[in-house]
Amino acid sequence: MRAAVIIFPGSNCDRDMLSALRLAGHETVQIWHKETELPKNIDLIAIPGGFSFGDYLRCGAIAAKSPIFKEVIRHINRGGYALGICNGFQILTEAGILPGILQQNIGTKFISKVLDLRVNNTSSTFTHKYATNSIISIPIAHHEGNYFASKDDLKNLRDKDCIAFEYIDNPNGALDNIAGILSENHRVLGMMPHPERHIDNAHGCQDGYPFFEGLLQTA
Amino acid sequence: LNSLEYDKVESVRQGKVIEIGLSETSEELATTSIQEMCEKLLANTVIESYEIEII
Repeated sequence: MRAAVIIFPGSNCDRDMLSALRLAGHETVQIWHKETELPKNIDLIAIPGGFSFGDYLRCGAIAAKSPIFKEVIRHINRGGYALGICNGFQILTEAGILPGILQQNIGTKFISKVLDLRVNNTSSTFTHKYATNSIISIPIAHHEGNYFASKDDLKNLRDKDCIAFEYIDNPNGALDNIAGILSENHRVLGMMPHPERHIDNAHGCQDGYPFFEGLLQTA
Repeated sequence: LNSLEYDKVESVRQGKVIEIGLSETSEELATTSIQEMCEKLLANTVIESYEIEII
């Protein structure tokens, strides 16, 4: 896969994202948010974690209106693949690409720790390397990870098998323990936990590697 | 606040005030335009509501 990693002022997981994609054998390019065109033949757009635009206004709100985002939306509307991790997930919801919003954690504290996720959907390109309902260990690090969606949106997520990951032990108050969701066509994924931080032996855990490895093959 | 003995405080809410300087003389057009801004960027209507006041 040829992946473009979008970088905003305040992104800080872009290098981790690049490393993870490269380790899994993908070609990567870095794209600055002020670009107005994407290179040709991009298969996947990856939006990394961080604090784009200092989280001013709302997390991800300003990034979702940046110049490159018109192209990102065009890519997704064409049926292209996209991935948003942490701030990337917040940006995808603010852009209206994924339903719902990430609110401040219950307890109002920033939480940085490793926790267990259940893989609910194992048919998407992002998750097909995992066995259904397998439990994987993935780090989280966020202040606004408390997922909320309207009743209708939540029902739609359930009906269309769009809930990709659930927290085993809900850290932030997220509705129905939701940690990551897919778009209706299952080609866009947003998640708060960081699979790119658990890919290497040196990380002490490689539960995130199948996530990036799976992107090579069609689900 | 109640524990600071302001006994008459019954509710507290915190919100955002965004001041916009607009080069528009028609109140109607200004309201329409700001309403658009709220929908597109300034408010996330999944969890937020907004009011517009022209001064």
